[in-house]
Amino acid sequence: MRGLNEHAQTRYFAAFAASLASAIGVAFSANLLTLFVFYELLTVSTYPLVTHDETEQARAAGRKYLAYTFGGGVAVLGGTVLVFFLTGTGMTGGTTAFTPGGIAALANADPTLARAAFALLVAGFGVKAALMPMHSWLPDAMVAPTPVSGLLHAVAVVKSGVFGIARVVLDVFGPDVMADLGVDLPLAAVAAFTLLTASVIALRKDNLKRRLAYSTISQLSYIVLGLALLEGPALVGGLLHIPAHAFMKLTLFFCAGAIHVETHTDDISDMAGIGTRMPLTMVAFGVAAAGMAGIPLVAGFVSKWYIIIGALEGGSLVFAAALLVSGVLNIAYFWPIVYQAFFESPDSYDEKPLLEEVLGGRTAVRADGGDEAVTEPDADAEMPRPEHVDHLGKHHEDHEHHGGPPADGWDDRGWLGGESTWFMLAPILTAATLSLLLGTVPDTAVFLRIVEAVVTGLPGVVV
Amino acid sequence: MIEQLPVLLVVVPIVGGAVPLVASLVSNRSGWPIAALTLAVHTALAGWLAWAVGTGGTIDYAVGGFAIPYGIELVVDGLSAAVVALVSAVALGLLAYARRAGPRSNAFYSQYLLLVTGLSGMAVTGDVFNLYVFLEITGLAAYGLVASGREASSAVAALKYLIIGTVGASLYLLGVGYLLAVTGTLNMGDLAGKIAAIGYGSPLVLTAFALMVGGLTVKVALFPLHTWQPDAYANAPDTVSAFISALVSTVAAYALARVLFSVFTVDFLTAVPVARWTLVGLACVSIVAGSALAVSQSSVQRMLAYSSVSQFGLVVAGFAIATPTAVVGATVHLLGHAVMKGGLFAATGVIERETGASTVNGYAGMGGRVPVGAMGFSVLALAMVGVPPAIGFVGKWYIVLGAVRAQIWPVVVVLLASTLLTLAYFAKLVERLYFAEPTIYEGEDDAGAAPVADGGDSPVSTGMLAVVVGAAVLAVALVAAVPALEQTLLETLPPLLDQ
Amino acid sequence: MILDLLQTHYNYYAVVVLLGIGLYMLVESGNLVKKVIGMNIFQTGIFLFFITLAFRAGGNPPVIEDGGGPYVSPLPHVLILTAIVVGVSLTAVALALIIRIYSEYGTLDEETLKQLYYD
Repeated sequence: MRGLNEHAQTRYFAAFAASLASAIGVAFSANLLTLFVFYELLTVSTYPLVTHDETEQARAAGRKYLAYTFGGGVAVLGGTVLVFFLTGTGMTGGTTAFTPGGIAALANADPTLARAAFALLVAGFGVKAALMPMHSWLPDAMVAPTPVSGLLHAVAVVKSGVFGIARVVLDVFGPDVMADLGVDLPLAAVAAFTLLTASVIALRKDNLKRRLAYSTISQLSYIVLGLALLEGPALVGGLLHIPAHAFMKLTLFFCAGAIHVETHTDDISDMAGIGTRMPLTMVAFGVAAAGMAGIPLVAGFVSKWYIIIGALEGGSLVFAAALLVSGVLNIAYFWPIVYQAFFESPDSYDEKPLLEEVLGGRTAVRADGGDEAVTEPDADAEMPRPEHVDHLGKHHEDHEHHGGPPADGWDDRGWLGGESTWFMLAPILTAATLSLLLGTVPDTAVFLRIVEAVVTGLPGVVV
Repeated sequence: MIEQLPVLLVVVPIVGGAVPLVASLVSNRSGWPIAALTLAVHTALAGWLAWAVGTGGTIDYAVGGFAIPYGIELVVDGLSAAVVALVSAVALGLLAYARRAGPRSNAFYSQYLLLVTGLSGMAVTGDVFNLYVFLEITGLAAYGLVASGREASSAVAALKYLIIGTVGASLYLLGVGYLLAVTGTLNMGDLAGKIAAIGYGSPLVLTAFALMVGGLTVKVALFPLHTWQPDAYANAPDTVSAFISALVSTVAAYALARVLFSVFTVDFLTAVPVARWTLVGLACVSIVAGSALAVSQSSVQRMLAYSSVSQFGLVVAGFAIATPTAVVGATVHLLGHAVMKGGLFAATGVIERETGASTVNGYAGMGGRVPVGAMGFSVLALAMVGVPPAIGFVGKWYIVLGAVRAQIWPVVVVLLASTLLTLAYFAKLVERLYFAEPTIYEGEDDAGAAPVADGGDSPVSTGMLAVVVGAAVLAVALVAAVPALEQTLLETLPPLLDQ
Repeated sequence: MILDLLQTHYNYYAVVVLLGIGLYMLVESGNLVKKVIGMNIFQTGIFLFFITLAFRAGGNPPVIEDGGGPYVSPLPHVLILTAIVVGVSLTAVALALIIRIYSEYGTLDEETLKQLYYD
């Protein structure tokens, strides 16, 4: 960011810091109202990031983002008011404070209103969690610079939505009340639908960042599905998938960003043989992609394992099948990228299972604005990268997007980091290593223990 | 001394308002210091009064020593104390804006203080006819102030405002006549008891209600009686736009609440559901229609005027639902809206003076050119949308909670949707301000920035910026005052308590 | 019956007629001065309404004398004195605005003014 002499850096970094603050606020909220306050602030503070490019496309994405997320905010507000009303009696105040296992007073509330409150809350948080059909802001928001995409897609924004749903499921309604109200099944069905549909759509996307966006949509629904199954192991798996997905998706986004900055390549069909040019990046990409698909030894496996166990324990064979099918689809859309990077060259490559029809593939709008910086913002902020001084952003978009391999094929930059600067490689490799650690020694990596402590704290749930 | 405070709040500005006229014989530049001094005293008194009401409860004052209910009574409870405090604080704050921006004649400051008189009077009076008189004083001063703009179009707007406003006030007066005919009294507290004794179904009482409330909704500018408002706001000088948009409709809405709660009481609304539902329906239509009209405006000031139509729908809805929670919410939103809308108009003034931009498209790319004004505008706009933790959110929260507790689901939906409707027009502006290429360039400024009156001065003074920033800060900081306000309101509006 | 009502309540009919005429002029007339006249007639209707309220058959003027006896109610008279003052000031302000409009635009016709105004 800073190294690229971007415009409006002050605004950018101020908004970035505000987003982080709001995300922390979301995490630390002790009741629904506080959560809502920070949820809205997060929307407001990420809006300048999404619209950062100041192009017509960025503005359209920003508008869409605001419309969707504020619409969700309104639903959350409505749900919060309802919960507050239902937990009080008559004119006296109720409560929205999070209680493990659910707020007791909700169990005795009018079931119709309680269902309405649940639907509003889940729909509201579901916007940021990109549950279908409220997902379409997410791929559009890819116009943002890459660190922002990381923030939007892997960490703060989408996770605040999922986190909200988790709070609603675990600490507001509680598994028991949800089962009584019969709202768990519809939620699980929506999640399973999103999970499969988004994977199929991802197959059709040739633009790497778009494909990752749909992958995000799909992966988030794993979390929601895990929560909606209400079985101990599924809850553990769903919650564990929050950090697991964060590390893997961060890796993937950093890789996409690194590829873009180094080679200006955005389309998957131009990436054949790129493994020789950027070996370390593509290895990290491969690791994270394997994790996404649920291959053992990477973080994604552990969480998906728990979710599937939970689905089987609950007897929901349909959902278990959906999870497995989606895993296959994950491989289907990630494997070709890794495969062609290492085992093909620009001169000889096969057609990939892209469905090149009107809806997808190459004709899709290119989503990113063309002025990404790739590494974590802090590392980025310290070090100007002279090789990109010419990279001035939107005004040069036309010739920045030439993409694809050079005429004489990819250079061989070796395995020692010649492919890029270590300011980009270090975060990529760190995130990839963490996803591996989470997958190989889940008990030592702290997240599983936290999650298990959370779930065992719920009354009536056996892990 | 404390019991004299209500009457002092009316006397101080009216006396102070006469002084600039006399002083203009000597110097025509003496208006500002006189107004500043008067309003400083006024603010101190209002603050003292609000504190006294907050700690000691309602304060009564019999004007001229005539026995109540025959004489005029001034009554200050939590609601009126809050409104009076708002009036004096906003009036004093906007003086800082007026010093550079406003019409600078002494006559302007006389009218300014006269308007403060009328508004304070409306807030403290406990007599329905007295309320009419202050309503008209407010109106007269406001018509004059709107017409003080440089362009002749301001006179047209003022005349339109005058005619529609007078009809509204006259309808109110007619309603007062009906009440007088049926009860023989004009004192609000006395009326409440006598109306209850006569019976809420009496045709005379119902007619009186319809006329009084109908007349006041003209002044509040609810859809479809809002037509005077956009013209008046858009054609008045910046100071005046900020001032009347912040206060005139606000105090009229206060008067509406006063008539609802102190004269007809909540029991009336319960006994005559059609009255309540008509009002709630009108408010909901106003919310939606006002926003829809606001979205389609090209002039920013007209957009803000239509936004007021919508926001007052929210306030009136809260009052008409009339549960304690909803009333607290409506009051919070009433006060918050005054601060936010006044600040927004002040910010449009700053932006227009600095760059000449006054239309939605002209605002493109002005974020960098007018950083303080644009930032203030954005913060206030977001507060108005209802982004927590700003005051706009708190008011909405209470109103929605009140509607939910009353289980009026369609209204809940409209109230929640109002957030998105408000977002629809403010997001457009904020996006233009920061994320679009400018359509007005340096150098073209001079055409639009004509009001640079005294050559050499910067068109925007520190005082003007301070007003914008102050409003933005208040829009968030006021939240801290809400619990105290809620408690005072619930203690001093007794008819609400028995629910 | 109706005749009876007419005979005893003719004041009220006058009120209604005045209000109607006033409002009609206010809305219908294109001439700004006539609008203001309409506004005045409308207010006069209201004044008459209040004064009629105060009347009682056989009442004396409310000046307390030795004879005593029933008085007409003084309160509405006082109110209407105030209201007339308000009405006069409103008319004055309105006329002042009209003078300004006429000197700027050279017309008092609302339609013509609208065309000038929105150009």
